[in-house]
Amino acid sequence: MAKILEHHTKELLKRHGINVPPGRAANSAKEVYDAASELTPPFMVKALLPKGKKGKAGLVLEAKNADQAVTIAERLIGSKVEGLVIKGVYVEEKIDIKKELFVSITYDNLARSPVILFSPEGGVEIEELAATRPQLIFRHPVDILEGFHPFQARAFCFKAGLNKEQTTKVSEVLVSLYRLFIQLDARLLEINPLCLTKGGDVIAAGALLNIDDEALFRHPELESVTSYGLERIMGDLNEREQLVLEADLAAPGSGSVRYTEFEGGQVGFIIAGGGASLLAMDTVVRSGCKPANYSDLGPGKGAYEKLKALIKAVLSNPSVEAIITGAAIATADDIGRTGRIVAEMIQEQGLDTSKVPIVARWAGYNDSLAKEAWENVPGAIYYGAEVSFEQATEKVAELVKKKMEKNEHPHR
Amino acid sequence: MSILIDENTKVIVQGLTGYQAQFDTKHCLKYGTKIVGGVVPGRAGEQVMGLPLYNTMADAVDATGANTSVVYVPARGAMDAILEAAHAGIKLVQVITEKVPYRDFSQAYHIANRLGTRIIGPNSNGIISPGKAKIGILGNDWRFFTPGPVGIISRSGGMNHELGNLLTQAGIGQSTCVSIGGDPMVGTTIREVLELFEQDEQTKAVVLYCEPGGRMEEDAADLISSGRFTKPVVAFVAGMFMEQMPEGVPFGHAGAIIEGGVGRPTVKKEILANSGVHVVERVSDIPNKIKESLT
Repeated sequence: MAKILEHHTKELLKRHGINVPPGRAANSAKEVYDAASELTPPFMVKALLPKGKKGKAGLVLEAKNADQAVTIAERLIGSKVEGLVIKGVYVEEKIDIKKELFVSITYDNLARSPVILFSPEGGVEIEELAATRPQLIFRHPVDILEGFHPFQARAFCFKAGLNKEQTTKVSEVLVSLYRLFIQLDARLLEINPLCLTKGGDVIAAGALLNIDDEALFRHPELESVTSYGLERIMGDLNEREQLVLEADLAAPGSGSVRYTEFEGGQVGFIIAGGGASLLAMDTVVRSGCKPANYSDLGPGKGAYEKLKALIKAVLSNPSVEAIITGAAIATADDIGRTGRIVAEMIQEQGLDTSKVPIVARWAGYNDSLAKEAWENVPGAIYYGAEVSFEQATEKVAELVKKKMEKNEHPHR
Repeated sequence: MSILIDENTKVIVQGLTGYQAQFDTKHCLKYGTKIVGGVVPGRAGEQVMGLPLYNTMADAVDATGANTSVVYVPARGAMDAILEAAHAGIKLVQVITEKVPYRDFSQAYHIANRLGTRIIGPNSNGIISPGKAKIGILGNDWRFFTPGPVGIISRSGGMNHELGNLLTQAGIGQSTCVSIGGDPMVGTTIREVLELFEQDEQTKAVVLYCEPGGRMEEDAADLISSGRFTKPVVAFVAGMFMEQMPEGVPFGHAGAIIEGGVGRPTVKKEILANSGVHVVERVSDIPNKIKESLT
């Protein structure tokens, strides 16, 4: 999902008529000081990261004055959270809270409909609330063809125990939030907390917005403010991961490749297809070995360049003891050809199978192409459909274990 | 019997001039599927592989009496294609297209539902009722499938082939194999396919290939526990390793994601097992479990 950072989300909320606290984004100590000088203290200083649960992670802190804001920002900016570097902060006026609510709009995949979750007990993590007081979470499935009407929002608020004044104001905000969710092709819009102030205003203090990647073509205005594809990246990328990511981004939408390493892994994966990529990982783990990487190659015109990068990464990972390549049986026309190309690329890149054995299992439409090519790779073990993908993966785990027993391993 | 498609199914291909559409259609025709035409706006009167093209689905249905369509139209036009089929009276729309926007699919699903049209997919690999008919990619090389008593349900097309092949090698045939699609939101869920299998005389047992993410398996288990699905089910749940990974990261299919504690394979295994499903630890164990449950 394309994630929108909080300062942009707040801007979008404002444009849709939803009140947000006055705030400024800042990327340096000086900018933080200037931002704070334009606002009224006290402040909340928030790390700009496309993640939820920031309060809990210590990424939202209160500052009494501009100097404190600078101190906090200096600590946050440049530090790393789950591999992501904090590049800036959002300095916001702290609001005078009387009551905190929780609103989340997302899709219920089983109902195939949007669903609004609402709680009169905002400000805490929803998971926590769900575990301790689930009766305080109210759920309204929306009929997408009908929309979400003010009368439904009012009924929803009354049901959640809000009084007349609160309901009048909050129901309007709920309707606006739903409209924004639909108009922007959001996958998730979460306001936590949605604050009722002592002055009687409704203000969206915490906001999380994820947009449907596949609908971004309808929203060119969002292109500059989204962090695309971040959810598939875990932690810092090493050189090999970076290389594969660059190959993937070089031809967006034309085939796809994913490569994530696991430290100290033994089995290198060069796998195509979503189903097989999961099964291969599980099978190696169950067989008592460690996967060296996760990989998933998706079809498309640009896939072969991406495949080359993936193979290069796996072959140059010094911890790899053996390699499995292949896919579940497929009957699109490129499966046999892809199997052949992997064989050719592996030879080109000079894999020594006496040191790092390889099991190839490419089966399906035209798999004679793959078979022929793999028979020309000295030392490679090739299977067609007569051996299941799971069995082929068990075979590679067996090879690793044999190497370990003979202490033949390591490193090339 | 079989479900969804059989020898009487009449199929229109939406977007027949595309490469993948023609490749699959060629093999579907060879398999004996009654593909009766294609819809490509502005190409009426032309022929592709001997099949007539029509400008609209309404024209195609009028001329051919088709009841099923396969959608190859690119994602941006997928909603329109689904709705055009539903409004033309098509009862089953199988969507090969992937990356259909959420909002589009949600709307298309509910409109189709009101019109009495079932959607399989998006991002579905196809359906095969061995010996009778196949649509989409699934079974372009059909040596992996044979007619028989076992239904297969899987998000993944590849794993559908693997399972068909394992059963076929063990001498067990299949009634219908359905790739329900790899996206988080699909037109027909595991539970809904099970409801069809329950009504199907040919189907004596079902194999489920489950992946992390969502609550489809939990929902299916609910149907089974409540006694509304009465046939033996053997399930394999993939993606155990994902429980060691950070939450919110999808692996494999877009739908394979553990979020907010929802979608864990261990939970799915437990709930399925509690509902009476035979949950196996290895895919290779499936044929034996099926044999046991059939005797």
